[in-house]
Amino acid sequence: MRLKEACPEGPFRGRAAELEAWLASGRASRPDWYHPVRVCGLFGAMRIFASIRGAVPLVHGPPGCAYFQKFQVVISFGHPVPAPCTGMGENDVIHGGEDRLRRAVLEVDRRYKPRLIAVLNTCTPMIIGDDVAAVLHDVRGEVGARYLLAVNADGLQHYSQGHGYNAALAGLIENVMQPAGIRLERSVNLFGEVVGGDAALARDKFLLRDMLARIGVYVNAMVPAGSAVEDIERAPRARLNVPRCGPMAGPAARLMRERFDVPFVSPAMPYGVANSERWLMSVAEFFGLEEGARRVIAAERRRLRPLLAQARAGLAGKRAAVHGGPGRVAANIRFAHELGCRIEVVSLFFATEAAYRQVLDAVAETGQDPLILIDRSMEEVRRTVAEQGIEAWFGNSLDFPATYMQSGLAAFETLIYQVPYEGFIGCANALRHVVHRSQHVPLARPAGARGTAGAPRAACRGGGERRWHG
Amino acid sequence: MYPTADRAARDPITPGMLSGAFRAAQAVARCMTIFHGPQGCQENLYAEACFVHEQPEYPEPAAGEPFLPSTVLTDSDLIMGPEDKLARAATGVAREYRPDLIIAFSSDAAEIIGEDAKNLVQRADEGSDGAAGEAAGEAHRLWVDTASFKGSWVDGYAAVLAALTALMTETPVRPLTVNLLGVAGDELGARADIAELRRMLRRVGAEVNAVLLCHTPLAAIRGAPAASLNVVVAEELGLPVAQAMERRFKTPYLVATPPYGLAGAARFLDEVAAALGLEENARRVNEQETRAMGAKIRSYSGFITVPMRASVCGEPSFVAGLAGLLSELGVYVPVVALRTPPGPSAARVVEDFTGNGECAALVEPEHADYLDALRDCGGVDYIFGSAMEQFVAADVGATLVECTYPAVRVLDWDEPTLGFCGAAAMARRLGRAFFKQVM
Repeated sequence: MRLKEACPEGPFRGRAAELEAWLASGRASRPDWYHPVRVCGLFGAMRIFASIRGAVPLVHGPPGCAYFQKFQVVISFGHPVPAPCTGMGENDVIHGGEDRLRRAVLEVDRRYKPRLIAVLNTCTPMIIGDDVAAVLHDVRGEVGARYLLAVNADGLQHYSQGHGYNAALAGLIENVMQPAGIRLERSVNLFGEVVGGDAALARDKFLLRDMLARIGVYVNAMVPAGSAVEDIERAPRARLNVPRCGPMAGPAARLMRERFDVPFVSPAMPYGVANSERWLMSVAEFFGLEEGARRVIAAERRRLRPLLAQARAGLAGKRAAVHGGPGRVAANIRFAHELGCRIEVVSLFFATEAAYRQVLDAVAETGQDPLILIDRSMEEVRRTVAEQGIEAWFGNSLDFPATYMQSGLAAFETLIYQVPYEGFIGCANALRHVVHRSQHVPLARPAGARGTAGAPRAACRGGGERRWHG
Repeated sequence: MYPTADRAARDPITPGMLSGAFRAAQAVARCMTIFHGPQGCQENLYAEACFVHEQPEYPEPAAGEPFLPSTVLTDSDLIMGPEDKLARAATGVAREYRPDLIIAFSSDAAEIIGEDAKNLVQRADEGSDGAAGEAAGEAHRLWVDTASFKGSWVDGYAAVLAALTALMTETPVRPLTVNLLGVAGDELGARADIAELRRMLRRVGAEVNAVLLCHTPLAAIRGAPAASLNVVVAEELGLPVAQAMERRFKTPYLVATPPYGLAGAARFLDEVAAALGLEENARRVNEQETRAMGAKIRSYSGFITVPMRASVCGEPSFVAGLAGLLSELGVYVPVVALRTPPGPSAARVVEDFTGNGECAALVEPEHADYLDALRDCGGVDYIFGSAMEQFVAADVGATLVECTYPAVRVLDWDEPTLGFCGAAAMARRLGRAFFKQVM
């Protein structure tokens, strides 16, 4: 499976028309040094396997690699994650880590008694050339786990978490999913859900499940978060995959279509009223259930109208920046537009062409022409936000904790939150959050204003939001 | 002490070498770092740095967020060679930010492909661009090998501290002055702790020459050899630099008892004073402080009528010291967890504390081991540790007091934990906790 798509891999700065030309050119150059912010493939792969009941990811690499992934999940998403690791040391780099891996697989099998062990290959064994597949082949007869997978998740080839998601999902599709004996009518998989545990982000998918049920569509499997290995095996029974976000609608979704004839639709994430409508309608159209969907949408519009008006009152005409992962950015462009903002800056991490197309489509719909930054230095993003006089912020505050907290921007944070935000039910929570940030947060300052750091930054990443919304 | 089983698959609770090295560099004023590796490692460092309560003092115009330029190595760099990326990065950073110091860190990838990074960093001022070369020449440049397969965060922190000796200059020794070595300046309350140690030392007639590291300017690092004694506050972080300074500058060093609690603070002061010939002063000060702070502590803790049970998880010096302090305040500590193996001195303190058999010390446990040990001992009311212990605390029904790195859900911690005042402050915290006063 080709994980890398034929689109430029590097930073971009310009308007939508220039982005089109850049994509067509297929050329990009990276600066010698800058400060990007994007986790690597290991993080994506780890999240996929850590979210499956009965599966254990085994990180083949130094302990620091495993700890960092664990740290990010624990602190940012608020749920525990097992991160057993082969703990490669200097000797292993010299003599090879295959023996260590063999012992680690056997130990993971003995300790956790999983149905699936996924060996996540990091940079170190990739460079020294450990033959992970051969090790797994050797130990297959000695373990109780039904599935033993090897997934390349190094940060040198797989330099975005989207790569890791797709590599891990491809591993599940090729090794775990079983051909469907039957196809369930009006059933979908929520494809690429990666947040496990009971964090707010994890609750979003249940809201989407309930929203689909209102039009008579049922969720066959959540792939993979919250599912057991057995659920993943049965995923091909569904009629349709609904990828969580743009990057999830890439190589892995296509592979499942080819392998099991499960097509996919690719709506933007359901943040806000318009996105939720579009999301629901894209599924309804596939099953010919538009009439029911229109009734649900009409009822929800009536319910959300007062709250939407209140949120608009605080944000209409404000200069907004949208920042984050490619999946969220496309959705947030529409959400910010729906709230009456003028979108001046769109900043996203490196992504796939499909994700860039979603962003371009969303920008075109708004009729605005924001400055688009892809994979630019964080410092440049901050500077641009300040130069553009941004008044409202949509997207990850994790990447700019001090900017987010100290500026007191009217903002909609999409990565750390304590109540679900997706779909119509989540939309009400999101709108209340917007009202709070735009009208109730004290001491708001314009973007770029410097202030005291420290505590607010820490509060932003996990603690503060939790307290405000708990 | 119970070293946990030598597992082939270990769920780590300690970050790698790179993390510690970056933390140390962030604690040097007007220092910029360059990471020579893939962007994933860089993002992890950035994410960690965002939790630090002490904002690094970057040179303008670096922004108020943690800032970590990276060469962003990819697979094509491995195949084609990264050429002079690192040298150009060092030149660029020097030109744009004009820092006093640039510290470049390696990654696993750079180490394995055999990049001569030290040479590349040193060559930064030989670029074809004359202006750039001039700018690069103004910043001191260091290279620290931080491949994550070479150690844990304490090794990284210690490696940066030791590397800083290269910047130190021969200076006439000032009598009765000390350096405090092995201070992690980004820990909660680090500034308050340093202020308390300064106060204690001043009372016995000694001055602090330099603190390595807490917002330490380059001038203080260069002038560190002026101290007549190096006092290693945390052995796991400060011992290598103390040894390096002894070799190069003949500065004697002392691995002091961690100054936690009245007893620990008094012993710390006794040890330092003895090395400086100020024993009599220390005896007097210890008497006065112990009497005054003891009275305060009794006033805070006298109302705590129900026994409190707590556990401590962190690095050895912190664990040994804090467990001693809690014990002194009447809190029963049945289990402690050391995230990294203790050095000889910290091990002795841990043994002192656990030797009576009432407290078990786990060395490098997984969280699962720690949880088992806490359950075995009947549970605790409080866990003093980092945000990473939140699920252990939740599972055992304990309140987590985030007081060591990474601490996330803490808005401020501006009181000391070390020294005599630290003991009183902790007693006050426990008193508030007992009465469930959170405001």
